[in-house]
Amino acid sequence: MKLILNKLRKSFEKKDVLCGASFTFETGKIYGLLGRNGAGKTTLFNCINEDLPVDGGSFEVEDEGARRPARAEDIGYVLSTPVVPEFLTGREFLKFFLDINRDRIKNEKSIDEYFDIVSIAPADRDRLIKDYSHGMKNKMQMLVNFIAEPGILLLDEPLTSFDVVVADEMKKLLRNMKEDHIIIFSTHIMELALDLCDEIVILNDGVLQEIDKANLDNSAFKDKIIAVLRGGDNV
Amino acid sequence: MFKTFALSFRLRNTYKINGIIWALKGIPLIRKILPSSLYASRGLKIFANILSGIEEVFMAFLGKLIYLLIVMAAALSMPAAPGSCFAHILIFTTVIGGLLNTQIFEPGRDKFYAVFLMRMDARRYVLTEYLYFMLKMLIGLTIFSLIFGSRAGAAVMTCLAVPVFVICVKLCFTAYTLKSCLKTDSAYNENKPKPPVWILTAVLLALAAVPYAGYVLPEAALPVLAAIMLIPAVFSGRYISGFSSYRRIYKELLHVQDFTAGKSITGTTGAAQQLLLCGFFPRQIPMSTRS
Repeated sequence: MKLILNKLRKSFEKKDVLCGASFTFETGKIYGLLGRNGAGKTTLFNCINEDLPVDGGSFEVEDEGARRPARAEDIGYVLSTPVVPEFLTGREFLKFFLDINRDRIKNEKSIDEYFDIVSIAPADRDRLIKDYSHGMKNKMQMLVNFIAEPGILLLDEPLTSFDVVVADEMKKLLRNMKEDHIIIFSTHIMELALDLCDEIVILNDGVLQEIDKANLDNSAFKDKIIAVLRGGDNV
Repeated sequence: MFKTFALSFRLRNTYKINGIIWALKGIPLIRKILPSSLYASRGLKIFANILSGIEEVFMAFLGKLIYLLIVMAAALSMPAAPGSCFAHILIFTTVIGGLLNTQIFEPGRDKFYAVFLMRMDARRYVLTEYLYFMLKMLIGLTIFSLIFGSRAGAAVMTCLAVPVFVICVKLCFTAYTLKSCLKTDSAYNENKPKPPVWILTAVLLALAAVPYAGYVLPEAALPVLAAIMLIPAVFSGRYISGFSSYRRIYKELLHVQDFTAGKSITGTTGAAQQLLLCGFFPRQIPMSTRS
């Protein structure tokens, strides 16, 4: 599968956020989407997820050689501020999610097994999600996206609220998932992007560009990325 | 379809009950009595689902009863023949109901949870809920229009035409609004109608009250209009069932910030706000009285 972005444009009043962003994302890779604060990473994700209409350009999916518009079930979006059903318990959320999506779920596990994946303690599983910490809500949001296994997974700075152990477990999960999925991981933490991601894509001045690591070591690669973000280097 | 309906029904009840428990636990004295383990109580949830089912039936009928009782009382207070007044009022209030009570364009936590958080198929969800809404309308209106319409002196044919007319009008308005949403690329929120809708509503209400001035449409107008509306209603029904952009419309209509905790629906505070926030108060009472 490929996700093909073609000259995406998006403006807010007089500010041009996306200025013809084009890129092709492919299955089997974790893409690190790097950009400065306000570069438009979240806007890009919102456009792909159709939470915001684009002002110009298009995006589509290429699946088994045929191009088509992206469907809702193709895309999973893990937001930086988790959006979860506050008035359900964790268990109820998973139960309903599994009941509703059973036809699409491969290798279904038990609810408690799913909780174990994201290390939610047994005592918390029957608590109202409203009473969960930010990190726990984030885990639930991540978990349902893992369960649904959409072809394209957009992650908007998802690991920042996780503790070190869970963040490491999430990274392992993402690495296991990447083979059959397109994973686009937005962050402004370069070390995380370099650690986890196979490709680095910069969003700068409203356009996307891949930064080729070539034969650079990590330190030189970092310098190259920073130079691009500063606008002092054209790749 | 039934599976979708059962799931959305259970989902709605579950968050309603949890919301009530959560709101009650916000009251200092009660907090100590209610344990948090109540959320996990399967027995409580089953009991709550049964109660909710009973409440659903009761509220569905209550709304129609109040609405048609008011119409009957108004018709009997008018100088013209009550049967004609009954039909006259219903013709105009039904159009108002078509504008302001379609169910599809009412934003609600249940829709947000089902479509976006649970990834339910939007079209299947919308059609299931809409069918349920129309079925309640049909049954409730048939029963109470026969009871109150006959007391107002309306013919049986007129009383039986009431639910048909209402369903037809709603179908037509819904289809028109869906088409319009696609054209304008925006979603109609029936809880926040624009000024032209309010003006039209006021005009229609005034027309409904015209019999007080001695002018009234003939009683036969209602069954005739119901018959005329059947054909566009059939086409509208087909359009609604084939519409494929419900998810897109709900993206416009349902905003994340409206359904996350902390959002105050009214200016109230404390337990009252919490009860409102969790959707405790049935949303159907005020809507169904407008049919």
